[in-house]
Amino acid sequence: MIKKGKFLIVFFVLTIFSTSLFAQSSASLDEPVLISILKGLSMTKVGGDLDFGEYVITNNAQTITKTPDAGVNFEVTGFPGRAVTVTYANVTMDNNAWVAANGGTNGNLTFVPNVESTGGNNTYSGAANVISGGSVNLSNDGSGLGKLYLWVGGSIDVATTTEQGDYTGTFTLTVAY
Amino acid sequence: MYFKTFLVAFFVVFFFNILKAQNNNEISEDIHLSIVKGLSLKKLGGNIDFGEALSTNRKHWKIISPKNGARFVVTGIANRKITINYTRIVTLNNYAWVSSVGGERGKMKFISHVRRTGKNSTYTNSKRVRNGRRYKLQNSNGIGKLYLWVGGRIKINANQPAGKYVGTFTLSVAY
Repeated sequence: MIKKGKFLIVFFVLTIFSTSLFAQSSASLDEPVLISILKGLSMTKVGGDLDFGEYVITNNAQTITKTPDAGVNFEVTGFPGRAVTVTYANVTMDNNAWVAANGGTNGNLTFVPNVESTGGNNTYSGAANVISGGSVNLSNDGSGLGKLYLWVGGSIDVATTTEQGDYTGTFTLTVAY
Repeated sequence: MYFKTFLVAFFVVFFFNILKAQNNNEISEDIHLSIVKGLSLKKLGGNIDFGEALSTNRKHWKIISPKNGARFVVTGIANRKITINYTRIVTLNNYAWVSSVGGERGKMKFISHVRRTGKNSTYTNSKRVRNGRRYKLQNSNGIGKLYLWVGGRIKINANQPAGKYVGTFTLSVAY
């Protein structure tokens, strides 16, 4: 009787311990491995221009303005959801080439850009101002591509003393991840 | 641990009382019990996140050194050997991302690189850990310890489809 009871107790204890030891004789952990592959950024001109046409100098200083929707439009393509940084700067324009060909006095003008974004919308609606150095997200176009439409207008101050001629300059818009 | 000690004590007293009650029928039995420290594997920090990479027209590699990857510690019986198994090559895919965003499905291979620093929790004198090999848990104040460091490299094929790629690296230890 005693032996039978002892056997059961020892069996019971050993069962508890062996189960416990078995449960802790190994361990395992999962660790996620992650990487995001980005397609290179591209930017193409959709249309428009920054041609302010002709302006006749008067006795009053004037600011000639082109609204972004009437200016030039660019399409940026990249990784959907990813932010890009947009940078640009004021442009100094000059009439040097015109003076070289026609004579006259050299002069300078400053083009102050006004850049707006319509996100992934390729029509001019819901536009928001984009400052230089500002960050804008690329919208998912549904095919795994991120899109961003940028619209550039701006203004040029013309003084009463501005020299005549054809003024040119180059506006550079840069986007980067 | 306390429960186990209590249980053993309980049964010793229980047996003693039974034997005492019989009075005329004594029996003795050697009792032996080895308390074994359970094996544990714990993540200490870091990760295996390669961040972002550009897909170009040429294949290239991105590398995370074990020092800058994920850190683990194995705890168990001092000086006891354990077997370490891990996923040597992990296949990542962008399927979940493509399902939600669109685009082309793709796969990538991550080749893991595991190193050990014994009981040293800093990355000094690291040695390679080979998959399936046995390594000793070093004695640290009576506790067996082994620090593991996981990095690796990933191959980005030419024109690799864009997306967020995910895979799972599994690390296992056993006595």
